[in-house]
Amino acid sequence: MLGYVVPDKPELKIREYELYSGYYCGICKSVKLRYGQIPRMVLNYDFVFLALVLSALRPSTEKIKQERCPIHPLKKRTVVYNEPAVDYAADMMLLLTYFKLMDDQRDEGGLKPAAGLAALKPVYKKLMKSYSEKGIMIQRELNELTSLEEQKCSSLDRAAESFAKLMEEVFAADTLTDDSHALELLRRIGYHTGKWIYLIDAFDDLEENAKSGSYNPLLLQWDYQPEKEEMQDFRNRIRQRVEFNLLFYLAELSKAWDQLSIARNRGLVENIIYSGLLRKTEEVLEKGNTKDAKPL
Amino acid sequence: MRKETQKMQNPYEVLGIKEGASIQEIKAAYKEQVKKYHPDRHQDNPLYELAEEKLQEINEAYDYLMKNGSYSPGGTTHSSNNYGGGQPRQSPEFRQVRIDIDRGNLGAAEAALNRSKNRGAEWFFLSGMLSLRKGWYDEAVTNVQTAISMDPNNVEYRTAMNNMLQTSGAYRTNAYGRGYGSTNDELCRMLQCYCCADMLCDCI
Repeated sequence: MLGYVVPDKPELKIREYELYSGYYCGICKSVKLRYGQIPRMVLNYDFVFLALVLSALRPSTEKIKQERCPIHPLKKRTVVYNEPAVDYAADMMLLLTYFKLMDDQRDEGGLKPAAGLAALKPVYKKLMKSYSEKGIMIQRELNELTSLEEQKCSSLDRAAESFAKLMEEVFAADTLTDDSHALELLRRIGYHTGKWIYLIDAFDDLEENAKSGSYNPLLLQWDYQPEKEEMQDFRNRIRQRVEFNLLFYLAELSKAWDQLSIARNRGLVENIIYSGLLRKTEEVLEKGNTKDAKPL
Repeated sequence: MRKETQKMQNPYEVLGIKEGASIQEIKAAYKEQVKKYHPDRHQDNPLYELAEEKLQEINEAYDYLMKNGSYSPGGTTHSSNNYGGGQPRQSPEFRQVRIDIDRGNLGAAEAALNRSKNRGAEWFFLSGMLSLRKGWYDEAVTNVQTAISMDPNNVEYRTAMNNMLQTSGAYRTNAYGRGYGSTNDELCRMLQCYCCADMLCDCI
């Protein structure tokens, strides 16, 4: 979960933007109210998407407050509160953060992950109590992911599978709905969101991974040989195929979304699905091509 | 058929469910068992090692059942009647595979394809269709491409390829239909960057 899932802000209505911010701040507040200050540092846009998709299935409108907070002391902000979808997204965010820290500790060691783990430990224990089954499944997929990395798996689909399955589990919020059809669709949304995040991140980080020698399935599947090929040529060589895959995920994601019965926030979620994700896709696909150099 | 007999116990027994249990039942039993033997519960406890061993068995059993769809000690292969001469377009060997893919019995289809020795164009095509159902779109394209290069005149393979390309294109068309891209000139790009920066400042 890396913050790729964002809205296309210029295309949002102002009230939609306000609401989006309200969900963002809502997650932060929800964490603070239930777990204290420290875990608030891990906030991430991807989980706002999760909260929005889940909230869309619930007919009641969200409760909104205008509030100040220590991070933005000057201006009052819109905050969505008492919203089960927001609480759920916050919980999943913390659970994944804890697992991520465990992973970092195993890979790099050092004080930073250890400190984070120590700080989050009580939260983690609580979460594993309330979501024990989900926690087990998520942990399982993460272990699988790590072992595929260790084996230097050269298949994109195989490597992305665990992360996609993990996200599937995260989106299937069975504590919020027991409609099995809706849960199935949420799983599909989660699965394809996971695949999209995994691939776009892999494509985005090609240079970095090639330089540091860290694992990236794209380098292996399409056989990147630094002495024979410039990275930009490699990018151009695989771009079309990567684009096909990314758009396929988004096509399946949007198909599943269209089949859900949506009670609210349609415009906002569809801004993300049809605009935000596509813009991000094109931005990352064009990476390195000079015409896309950022102004200023 | 039963390759792992010495190494592995019957995975259904390990998970404590009856043979032929559905995926839901397998998952439920797996979660149940993992909870029981989770190392967190047996820390500083003489049973720790035993629990760990048991957990590994459970994981193996679960992996086995998930990867193979089902575990059939007797084996239920379909006799393959290979034609001696030219390859038929839809060989009877793969009839069951096609049915399984259509019905979503992906484990059974995968097992049958892995068993098959007849790896012609149709095998690649069906592997592609299986990947497609699994959500492995990249492998789907590779396999169907191979099928097409082996049998360039086959309409079924080409149609499948076109459908895949169309799915991916349709999303973009849909997005354009909703007004995406109308703000795509240079000035707007600059504004957009400004907005992105603005969004970060606004929210974080």
